Amino acid sequence: MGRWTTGLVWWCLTVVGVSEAVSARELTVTGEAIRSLVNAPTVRDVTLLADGSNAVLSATLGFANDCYADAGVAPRLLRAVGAVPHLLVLQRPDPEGCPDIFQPTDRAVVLPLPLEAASEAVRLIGRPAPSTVAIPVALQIVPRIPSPTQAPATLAALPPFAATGVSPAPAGVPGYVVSGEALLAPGCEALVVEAEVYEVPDAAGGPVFDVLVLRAPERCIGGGAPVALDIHVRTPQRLVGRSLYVVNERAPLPRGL
Amino acid sequence: MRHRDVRLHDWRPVVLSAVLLALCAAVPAPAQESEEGFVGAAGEAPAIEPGEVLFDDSERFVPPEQLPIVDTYIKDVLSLTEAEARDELTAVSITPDGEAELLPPDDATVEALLEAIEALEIERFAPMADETVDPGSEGEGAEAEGDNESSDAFDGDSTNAESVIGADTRVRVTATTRYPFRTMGRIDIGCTGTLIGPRHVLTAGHCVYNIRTDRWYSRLSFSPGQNASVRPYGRVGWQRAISVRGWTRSHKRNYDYAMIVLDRDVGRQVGWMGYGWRNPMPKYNVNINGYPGDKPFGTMWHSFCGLRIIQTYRLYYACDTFGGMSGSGVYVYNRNNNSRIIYGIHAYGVDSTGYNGATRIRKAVFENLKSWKAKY
Repeated sequence: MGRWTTGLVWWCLTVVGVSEAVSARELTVTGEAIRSLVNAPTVRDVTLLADGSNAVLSATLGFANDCYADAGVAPRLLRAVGAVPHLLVLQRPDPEGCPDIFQPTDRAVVLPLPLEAASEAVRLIGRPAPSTVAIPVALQIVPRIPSPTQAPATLAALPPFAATGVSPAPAGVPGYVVSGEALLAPGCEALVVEAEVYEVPDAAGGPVFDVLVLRAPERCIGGGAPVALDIHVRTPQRLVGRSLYVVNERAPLPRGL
Repeated sequence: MRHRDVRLHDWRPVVLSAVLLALCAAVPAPAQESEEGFVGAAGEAPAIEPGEVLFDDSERFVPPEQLPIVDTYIKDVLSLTEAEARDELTAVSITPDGEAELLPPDDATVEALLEAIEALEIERFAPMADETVDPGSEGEGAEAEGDNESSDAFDGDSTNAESVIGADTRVRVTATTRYPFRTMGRIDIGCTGTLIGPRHVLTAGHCVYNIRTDRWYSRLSFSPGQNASVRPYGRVGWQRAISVRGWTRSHKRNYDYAMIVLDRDVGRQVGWMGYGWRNPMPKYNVNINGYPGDKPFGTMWHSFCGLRIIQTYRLYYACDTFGGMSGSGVYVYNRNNNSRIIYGIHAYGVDSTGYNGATRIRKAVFENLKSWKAKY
């Protein structure tokens, strides 16, 4: 009987041990979840203006031609709890498609930002990537902000994430694995987390940064216990000379891949 | 104001006779036709089989009013008067001196009927029209239905694009003086073109005629095989640009194709590509090479992917493109018989379908291109 009890205890410990060893959820990022910013407008110059109650991003953007400039941009404000917000500037698709002729044109745009951005700086993620992936844009208080020319940026609250390491993907599989812990609200499991990657090209058009964005349902944002994640980014690109930037980190910095 | 009743009255005798013939016919075989390419003075001509079955309208025709509405083209056909159809298919060309010339179709009504039949073919034999189809989902092996170009011409590995605006899978073409890349070139206005004859460059209509300003472009010189600042065959001037009134006057995207006639036969030196039409159009894997503006100036880039949506006027795919790729040939490479045939002309970035798109080379487009080559 005693031996049986001891065996049961060891069995339980083994099971617990095994479950702990594999408890990190494996999340694969592939296909359409990896998105190049090649088709995003080129950021020429940018300022963040606020009048105390409203904020706009005023920028000069370069487009491939007038059709793309007329279609405008689809800005997205990404903000992890406790971290500086990031603004992602994407090309808004034209419903009928734009001619793919290259007749570059610059266009001044004014993007309304959510109120949350009216009192602090943002980091801009756009094309091309400068030496650092996210351009810090300091807030300037002005008496009156210019009238918006674009649709408001959408706001996405993100779960905080602390990366603990980046390793190559298993042999024979492309890409790399990002390991770390995300903070989710009580009652939320790792299964709710989704991931996407934005490839940011340099001035020559080659991808140099992978921007990783982890998402979770709104009910799962805010505090709670850390959950382990292994995120496999199955990028078809070569990793030489590229860096990873995780928007969900409190103080994100590029990591070499 | 449309005059549908008038048109129907005009077509009815033809319709009735064709219906009788159609009733007698067995299940029609797929139709296709192509003109072969030429590898140039430096090597052998690629072996290209001529069309196995020629299009035969007398065996396929049904009344247009009985056609199901599968896309906007058929709606167009059903609402076009004969005069409108003739006008849209009329070629208009211009020289650098500004002299314009019209080239009416021989028989616009027959042309329209042929196109209507194409639409019918799509509905009957390719029910995937207007649907998203995964390559290979119907047993069409990726490699068996269009091969990727040889990777030793590229600066990196070329992979099949998996998604629209997904990872950037373009690779740079470094061997631009190799066939078929030397048949492709940069057009000064900011487009790409492909030689399909000794001096005949296939491109998009919006690369020669600006419908926003209703003016022709004048910067249409062509640099085959351009590689950054190097133009291995020079910058070739142009003597004529041709499109159709469906584009230049009606501004309809369905007619977004054109030809630039060069002022010397550089194709005798570098060769040219084959082009053709097929109906129904298989879900081929296609190659697209061109000069995207986001890359270093004048560099050629390659993309390879599967066709996703096939419409009467358009082909949609997930190949990565950018401004500057307009006019690129969307072609199928068959490694087994070393054939390359252009079936579409890249024209548009992502639209509401979520895919990039090409003007499809239909029977009518094919006939127009042939007649332009013969005349100019």
